[in-house]
Amino acid sequence: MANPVFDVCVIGSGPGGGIATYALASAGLKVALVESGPRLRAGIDYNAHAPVYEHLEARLSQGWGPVSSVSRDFGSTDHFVPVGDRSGHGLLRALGGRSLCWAGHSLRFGPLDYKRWPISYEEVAPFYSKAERLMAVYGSRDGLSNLPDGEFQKPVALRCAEQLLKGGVEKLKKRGRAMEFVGQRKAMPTEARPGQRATCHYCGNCMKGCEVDAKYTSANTPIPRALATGNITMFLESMMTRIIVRDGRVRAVSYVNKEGEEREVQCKNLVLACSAIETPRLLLHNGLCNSSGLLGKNLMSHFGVTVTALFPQLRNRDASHDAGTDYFHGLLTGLYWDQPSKDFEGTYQVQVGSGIPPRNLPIRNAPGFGESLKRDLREKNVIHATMGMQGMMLPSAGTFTDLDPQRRDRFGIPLPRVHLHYGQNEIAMARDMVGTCGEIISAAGGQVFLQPSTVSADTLGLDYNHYAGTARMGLDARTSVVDPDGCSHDVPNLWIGDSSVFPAYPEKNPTLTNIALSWRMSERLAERIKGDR
Amino acid sequence: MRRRDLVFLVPVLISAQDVDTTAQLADIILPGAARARVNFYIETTLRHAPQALQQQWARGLAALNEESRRRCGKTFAAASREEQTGIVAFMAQGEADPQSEIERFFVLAKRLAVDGYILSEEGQRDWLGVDSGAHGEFTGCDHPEHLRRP
Repeated sequence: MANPVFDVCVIGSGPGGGIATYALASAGLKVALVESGPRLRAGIDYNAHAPVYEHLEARLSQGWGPVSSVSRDFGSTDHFVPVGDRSGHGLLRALGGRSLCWAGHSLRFGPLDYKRWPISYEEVAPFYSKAERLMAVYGSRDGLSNLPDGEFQKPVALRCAEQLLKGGVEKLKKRGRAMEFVGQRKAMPTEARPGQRATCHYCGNCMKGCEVDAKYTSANTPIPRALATGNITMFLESMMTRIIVRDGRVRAVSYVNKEGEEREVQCKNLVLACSAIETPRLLLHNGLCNSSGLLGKNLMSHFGVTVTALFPQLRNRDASHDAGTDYFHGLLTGLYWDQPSKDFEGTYQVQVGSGIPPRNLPIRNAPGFGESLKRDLREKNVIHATMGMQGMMLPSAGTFTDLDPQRRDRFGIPLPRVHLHYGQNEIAMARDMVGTCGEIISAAGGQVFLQPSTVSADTLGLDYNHYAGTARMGLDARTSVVDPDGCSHDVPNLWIGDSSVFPAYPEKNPTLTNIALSWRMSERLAERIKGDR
Repeated sequence: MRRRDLVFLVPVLISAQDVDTTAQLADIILPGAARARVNFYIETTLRHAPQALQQQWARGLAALNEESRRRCGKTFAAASREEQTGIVAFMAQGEADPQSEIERFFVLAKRLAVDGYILSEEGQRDWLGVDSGAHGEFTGCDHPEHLRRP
């Protein structure tokens, strides 16, 4: 057969690329999926239930929690160059990408969040609904103004300490404070339904890779469905290196396969969905889509500090099954939505976890040894709750990604540099979080056990799984990289289907919006192709 | 440590005497650890660990025995429980900011002992009192046609 010309070539099979492949193949288009990693089988190639004898080095640096063969390399500096304040890059080269290792948190961005975007919440809402049904998201309908309810399966309950914190929030609300405490919303089925993935068995290992494929991944839901259409061809362990453009349009991409040979895929349209670091890196390397000079700029993520509480009233609680759907079951939200803070711009949410996760102890820093250590460790872990801040970062000139002039990967492509510097706004927001959590803990009858003694740039931790904003969408080609549909302003058949396109970033987790937007982008692309025929 | 337990152990990293030392050290740090055979966990983990860590463990054991000989003229494994406890108390002094080989060894040994004990049946069930098995909801047969009695 002569080299086929695909309607669309999708690069990357993570949350954005997986859904794009499915949406495009379902529309009857011939799709090539190019993924730099191999196919990993849940429970065989990675298994978070197995005893963790291996990966000791990764566990030493990741706080001794269980690590699986897919989650061990996060934060390793082999595939990026950090500049400035602490950063990382949670890249995973495999079919399904980082959707293999995520906690499943699925929160819609709200109408207020979309005020900074060129599209409205109402335009994205139908895609949120479709995504939630496909992903099987559980949650409770809380009726909050800026965290819209979705198509939920039955919610998962809060644990003891989370319940107490909810009580603390209710007390503060009566005193006029604007905040809400709700259950988390996550992408794993809690109700058995025909034709759906297995229901969650509450083992608590979501982030390390779900070995029964209950948690949504690109590899277990959209890609198998796309394959069933017969419209896709997969190129695995194939690293896209060059985008071939003639007369202003993408004609093909070249990739290096497992054997190290360079090959080409001819395509009429190209979708890049490689993450907010990899997508700009590949475009910068190819000298494309940067007439605005904004490619790689406006890098945003989430950051925060952690406050740990102890609740003496839980000292004698019964043994319980604390694993659940990973650690964070509770969510403190609704802060500074309607009434902005005087001290900082933006807002944050707080993810709340408690209890003893499987094969792990959240608190390991009890001093000494012997019977007293044994008593102390048990008690602290049984009665603790952790409040993890997730604050929004404003885009700034100091925060961006570009190409390292020295270091290159094995394909000769420069490694991305991640430039990250915290400003006064982030520090003021984190100080507010420490104060607010202290009030909630004491209103709930607990005491603060661990918190940063002073909040400075050094104490802030970055969520390096949540990058966004490096190829922002907008109406004006001078101030944005893609249009509101996700199509490049510069190259009319090059589309971006990942969180790079976020023009602003609220406090909420990115994946559900990434998937909804990529689905919307794919439908627009399919309409355009059909219109051209 | 019973002799037959040792049969299963291929001493890639530590000798049979080191196994005893490891078991007893872990048991002083976390009473019950020897019964839960945490030393097997430590041995297996170290076997998979980077070489630098294996070497740190070997140096740590040597420093432990040296301290033991200095104090009571015996190896750590041969010392009485009381003598061992005194040595571990000495090791633990610098826990917050370990400086010497033996102080760094305490931090590593404690981490591994806690880690192994969490994973053991005794640690899970008797110490932490958690039920960490994975349990989905089990409803049994709910098909009306099967539930109907003849």
